[in-house]
Order: sequence, then C-alpha cells, then structure tokens
Amino acid sequence: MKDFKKMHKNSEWVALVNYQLSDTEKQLMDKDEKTDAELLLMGELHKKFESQPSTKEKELLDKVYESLLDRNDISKEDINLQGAHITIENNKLRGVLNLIGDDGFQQLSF
Amino acid sequence: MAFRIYKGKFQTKANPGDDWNMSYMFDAEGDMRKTDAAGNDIGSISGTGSNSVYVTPTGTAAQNGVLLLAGLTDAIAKIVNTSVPGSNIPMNMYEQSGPSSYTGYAVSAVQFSVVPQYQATFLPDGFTPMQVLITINWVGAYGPDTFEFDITDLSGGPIMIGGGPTPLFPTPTSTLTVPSTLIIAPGDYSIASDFILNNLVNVTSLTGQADVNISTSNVKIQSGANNSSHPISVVGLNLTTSLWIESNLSYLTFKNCKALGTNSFSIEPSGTGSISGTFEDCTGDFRSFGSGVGVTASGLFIRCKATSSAAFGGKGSTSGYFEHCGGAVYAQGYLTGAPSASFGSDGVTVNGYFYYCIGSGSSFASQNTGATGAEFHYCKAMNQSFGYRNTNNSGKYYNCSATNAGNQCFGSNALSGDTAANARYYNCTANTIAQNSTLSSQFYNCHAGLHWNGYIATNGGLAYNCSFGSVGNQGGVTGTGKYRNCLDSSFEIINEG
Repeated sequence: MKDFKKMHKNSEWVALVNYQLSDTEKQLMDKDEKTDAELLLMGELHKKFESQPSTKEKELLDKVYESLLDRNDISKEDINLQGAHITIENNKLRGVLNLIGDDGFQQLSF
Repeated sequence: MAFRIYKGKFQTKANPGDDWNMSYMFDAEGDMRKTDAAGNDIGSISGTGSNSVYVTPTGTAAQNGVLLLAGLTDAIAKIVNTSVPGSNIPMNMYEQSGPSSYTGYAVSAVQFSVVPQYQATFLPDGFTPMQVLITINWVGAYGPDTFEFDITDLSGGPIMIGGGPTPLFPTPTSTLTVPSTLIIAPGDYSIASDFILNNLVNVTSLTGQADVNISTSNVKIQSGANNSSHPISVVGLNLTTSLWIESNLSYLTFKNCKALGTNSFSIEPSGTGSISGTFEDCTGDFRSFGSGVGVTASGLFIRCKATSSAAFGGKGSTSGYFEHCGGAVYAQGYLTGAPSASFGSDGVTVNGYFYYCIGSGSSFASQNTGATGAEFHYCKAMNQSFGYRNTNNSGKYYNCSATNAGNQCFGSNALSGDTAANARYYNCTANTIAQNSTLSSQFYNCHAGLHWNGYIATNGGLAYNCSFGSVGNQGGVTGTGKYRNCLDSSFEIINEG
C-alpha cells in the first residue's frame, strides 16, 4: 500500500513514507512552547514523512487527477484544491479529491 | 440492510424501497425474539438472520468479548458472494497506451476487479470476432467506468483495436456481493485480540447509541471494508481503546462511536495516510480524527468532539470538511472543554472547510509549518489561534472569534514574516490581532478588544473598517499597505498608505 497527496493545484505529488521519530524528535514534536528555530525544525521533521513519487507513479497520479477534473467539468487552472489523496493497493486506486467551489466544500471519491 | 427501533420493535428491511417487513422484540430475559406483523412472538431468532448476526452479552466481559469476535467471524461468513458470468459491455472508447495495452472507458461503472488473464471472444475492428487473451491490470483508475488492460491474440501477438464501431468489451467473471450486518446488543465486551473489520460487514449497536462497550484490544478498519457499491457503516461502538482506520477508506461511515484510545479515528500511530471517511457524532481523544504526524484529515467530520488535545488534523494536515466539531461548551462568552492545539495545529498544511467549530488555545492553523488555504466560518477558539505563528497563511476567516481573552490571534506573530501570503479576515474579533506581524493579509471589519500591537500592513495588506483596540500600539504601513477607516484607541479615524 502506498499513499500520495497533492495539497495545492500547483504543487507536486508527494509520496507518504513511514518514518520512525527518535526520542529527541518525539520530544520536540510534543513540546508545547517551541522557539522559532524549533518550529522551523518541526517543518524539516515533517518532511521526513514525505518522498517523491517515481516518474511512473507521477504519470498515473496526474492522469487520475486530470481525469477526475475532466469528468466533473472542473478547470485545472481554476480549481481551489484543498487536497487530493490517493492510495494504491494491489493495483487498485482509491481516494478523495477535496475542493472548495462556488457552492462550498465538495468531495469527489473514487 | 437497514434497521430501526419502531414502537419498541426492532425492524429491518433489505433495500431502501422495501417495507419494514421483519420485527423483533425482547422477552423478559432480554433475549431477542422474532415477531409477526401484529407483534406476536413467533419464536427465537437464534442469534442469526439470513445475512445478519446478532450478538448479545451473556456472561462476563471477557466471555462477551469472545462472542463478539465470533460474531464478526459469523457475519463475515454471511456475506453473500455470487459469481456473475462475464458479459459484453458497451464502451465509449479505447485508448491505447502500449503495443498491447489499453485504457477502456465503459458506458457505465464496471463491476469487475483486477483479474488474471482470461480468454474471450472480441471484435477488435467492431466486425470480426477472434479469440483473445485479456488481463485486467487496473480498475477505476480514472473513474468507476475505467479500466486498464492488456490484450493479445492466443499466441501473444498485439491486437489493434479500431477501424470500425467501438467494440463491446468481454468482461471477466465477477462477483456480486451482498454485505452482512453484525448487530450487537448493549453490554461490556472485553476482546482478547483486535476486532479487525476487513470485509463488507455493517457493524452496529442494537440501539444505534454508543453502548457496545469494547475494551482491552483495539478496533481496526481495513481496506476490505471500503467499497463504493456497498458503503459500510460502523455505529454505536464505545471503546476505551483505539479505533484505527487505514488510509483513504472514503466509503465508510462512522456514527455515534466513541473511542478514547490515542489516535482514534485516525491512522495507527507511526503510520501515514489520509482519513477520508464520514464521521458523525463521534467522540475521540488525544490526536483523534485524522491527527498524527504524516496523517491528513481529509474526510467529513460532523458534530464530532475530542476530549483531549491535538485532534482534527493536529500534528498533521487537513483538507476535509469539519462542521460543528470540537466538543466545547460555549456559554456567557466563555469556552470550556474544547480541545487545544486542534484543527490543523502544530502540523503542516491546513486546508479544508471549517464551519461552526470550536477549539481551545493554539487552534485553527496555529503554528503549522506548511501553507494554510482553508476557509473558517463562525469558528471559535482561545489564545494563540487562527493563524498564530503561521508561515504561509492564505486562509479565509469569516466571522470567527477568540474568547476567554483571546490574545495573539488572527495572524499574530507570523513566523519568518508572512508578507507573501494573502490571508483574508472578515468580521473577526479577539483581544489582540495581528500582533507583532508585518502582513500582506487583509482585514475587513475586524475588531480587537486590546490592541494590534506591532502590526504593520505591507504590500497588498489592508485593514479596512477595523478597530485597533483600547490600547492601540499598531504600527504604520509600508509599501502599498493601507489602513482605511480604522478606529484607534483614542477614537480617531486612521487612514494611512
């Protein structure tokens, strides 16, 4: 099973990976009052849970995404994308595409 | 299968359009018995129906737990799978993606799954039948009516589709499934091993309320329970342990469930993914509802509450819909009992739609390290909320307020400057707003009780029709930043820039 997300219409797909936080990293993550430096470090820690999809995966994800938009008459340029989340498991895809349109929040499931 | 309690009777029907055609009642011992239409007792139901299983507590919590797990096994066995022979289905088009590979676009949703190679009769040019070998590689990749397949002749040679009418597609043998239902009577169930739902089994408490008390082990919801044709519900479970869900199970609905173990209604700790189901009237605890590092709350969360902090995308990201969530009591201008550091707090990206939600301190895109693009409508929180120490805030905040003092809210203490983002604030109130921040954000009709201390409107930034509070101390403007028709602490109208 592999998970992917795209959080903005102009952003790239991100593959999610399981990363084991060290005790020090856990302490930082759980700390209530963080300094500016610690908060920036948190940002770096979060990136450890992400990687780039392969070229083939990216092609597939783009095709799924664009197909969903086409089918729902949503413009790729104008979409107010909130998040596209796709899981690939046993050669089957599932996921959601969340957006905010003229009528408010909308979720496309597949 | 649907069910209801009606005039003291438990009734079921197989399909939405059917009449309520079976009734049950409880006898003096609390056992469930079947009744006729007039409500007369016509016998024991013996614990099972045609495709349902009824579990009732009869002993200690541990003994009941054994019954519950056995009931799940029985319910799985009652899922009806019928083999449906392949047929020729109409197609809109075929799109070639390789010498022997195609994407098929059917006229309607396809019912088959990924299958190994099978032999069929096919008319590649729409006219001439021939024997072919087909392998279905993907189903539903571009919509429920799409699939990818390889097709060759019997010797493995490529086949060119086209040249005539769009040919029908010979589908493989498929399986028609009718889900089963596990009905659980109120009681205490201590389960020795995890309750793993990985099949098309609806799980519900008898009453629909959270009175199936599960302890000792966890409930895990896995992808086998996620099916677009047969959406599954989980209703009325009350766990002292955790309820964990695999990524992207968007066709599952959870109602009136309570799970107080950590990371409930989320991915199991240390995992990543997206929580995309529907959650109604559920209660979680620490890091619940799509929270956790590497997790996104992408589902629909309605009237859900958390009894501890870092919920609703806390430590992770959000992109879903949140309505009347939080769990706080708001009375006489004060909030009590709301979860702190929630609604995308301390995480990464905060997107989605938040409607009438209530958090405590450090909530709503507070201290997140990624971008904020969410909309917040009529939300309430406390200190250091609504874009506090945000790094890239382009969220839209409508009629939101910070109570219980409500200091350092609405773009306060922007981290590393936030001059490129373009958050919008409409009719928002707090004790202090945009504190110590140079912002290109725009504020309309926003009002501070105390001050906008250290606020500077910079390029593109605007404060329009805002009141700067009784203390004042806001800074000036830089670049193309503007103040228009704002009121300072001495009731002077401020227009700058």
